[in-house]
Amino acid sequence: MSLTVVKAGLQSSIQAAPFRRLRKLAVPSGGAADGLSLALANQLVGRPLDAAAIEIALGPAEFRADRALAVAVTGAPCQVQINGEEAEPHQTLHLEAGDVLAIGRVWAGCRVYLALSAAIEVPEVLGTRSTLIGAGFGGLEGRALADGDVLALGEDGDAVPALVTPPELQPFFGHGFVLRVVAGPESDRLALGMAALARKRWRVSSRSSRMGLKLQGTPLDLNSAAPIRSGAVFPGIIQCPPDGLPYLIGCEGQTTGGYPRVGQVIRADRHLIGQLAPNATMLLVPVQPDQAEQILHEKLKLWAEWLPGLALA
Amino acid sequence: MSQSIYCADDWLMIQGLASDRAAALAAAAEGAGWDDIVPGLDSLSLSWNPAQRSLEAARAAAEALAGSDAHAAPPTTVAPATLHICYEAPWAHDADIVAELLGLTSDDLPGWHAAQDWRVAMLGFQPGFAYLTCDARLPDIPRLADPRARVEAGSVGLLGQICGLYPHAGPGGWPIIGRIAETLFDAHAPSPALLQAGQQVRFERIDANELARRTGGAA
Repeated sequence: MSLTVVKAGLQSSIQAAPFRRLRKLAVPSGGAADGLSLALANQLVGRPLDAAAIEIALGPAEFRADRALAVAVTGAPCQVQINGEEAEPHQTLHLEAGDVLAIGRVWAGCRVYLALSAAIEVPEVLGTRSTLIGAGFGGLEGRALADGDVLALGEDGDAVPALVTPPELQPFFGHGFVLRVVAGPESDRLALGMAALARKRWRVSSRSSRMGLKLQGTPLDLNSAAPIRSGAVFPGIIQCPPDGLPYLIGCEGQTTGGYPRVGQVIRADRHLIGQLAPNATMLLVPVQPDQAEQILHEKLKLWAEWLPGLALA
Repeated sequence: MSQSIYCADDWLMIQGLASDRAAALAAAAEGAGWDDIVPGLDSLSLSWNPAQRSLEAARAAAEALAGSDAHAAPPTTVAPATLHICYEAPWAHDADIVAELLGLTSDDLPGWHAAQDWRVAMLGFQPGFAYLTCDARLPDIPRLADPRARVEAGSVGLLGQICGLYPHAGPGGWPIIGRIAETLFDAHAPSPALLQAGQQVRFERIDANELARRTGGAA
């Protein structure tokens, strides 16, 4: 009753719902970096939308089913193979005992999600089975998966029907992203205002992880680079350190900081941060908070029928 | 300080607060439908789920909270914490530098540190990492020019105007003056963090042997 990690790849980890209401204890949110792709994968195998699944950064990775199992692959586009035969993402796949599922290197985007019809039996820590890789707890022993790990699985529910994500609801990931942003608490430090963020094309540097992403481009001009009194930061916050190159806080980013917070990716677009790989480019488009609220409602409405109860956190 | 409210699309921040006021407002905000309640050194941030609460309702609730007379005194429901601290080698790496900045001898630093009325202003940086403030005016103690590759769990640092407590071993840039015996964060405990914002902290001196006994480590 298990799934064996044959090749874990660059970084694969067990991710589910975020850690909630723990930021006052400096526990990051974590959870799936792209919660929408996690939900889409779980939907195809009849599991709760935020059930624990395997998040695979960049690929390749390989897994062997030690029993019959339904699985689904979503997120960044990549080659999917079962025992060397081509298989499709965004649909329910049935594995027999001994079958090997191979995830290729992603063509675009960053993270692939592999959901299973049976629960991954790791203990719940602080309310979720997600792994905080930086803090070292949750998931499987608080760490990324390694070659040879054997994941214990729970009982399957009823037979899983074969489903396909409606094509119009399959997210498209390329190498360029458009992320909408609101002004941050210290956006008045930007010499040219929010337009300074919008006028540049930013490139994700190799210094990127679930904690955060260092951006490259023409440095921002700040009126003052003096640190602020430490205060809250949240995923999606764009900090501006003295070098003028933005640092985008990821899902596992720390809960407080002392660098000026010049902007923040809006809640409706934060799941896309999980798909930003090194060298991806992005445009940041300023919107007002009330517009951001409206965009979130519209986005949730778009997914509501296929993914009832979806929460973009 | 004059307070103002910054507002994003799913969190806001009441700015310009004294840290004890931030802790008092944080306590007052519990149970009022916020997702995260995060005190900062001079601010309080509150987040919400837009599926459950509108931006306008959140802003109005925060304005009401900021204008309330939740008193400046820290919440009294939290008992003060006593932390057992060893100021001896090899745990007080930077005591000499810090003592000099404070205008003290190295021998007087422990007595000075233990005598201050410390209070938890906020947690941040890593799970359970506590930022303590006191009423004494401290010189602006700088970060180490060359951060340490490894600081032990329980290390006590002084930086800027803040006394910081490291919950986990790892790299660190704070000048270190001692080490406590207590575990600050345990994700598997029913109450994972030992300290919370607003809580008063007393330091009680122990020697290196006592620290080793309490932490089960070698002296």
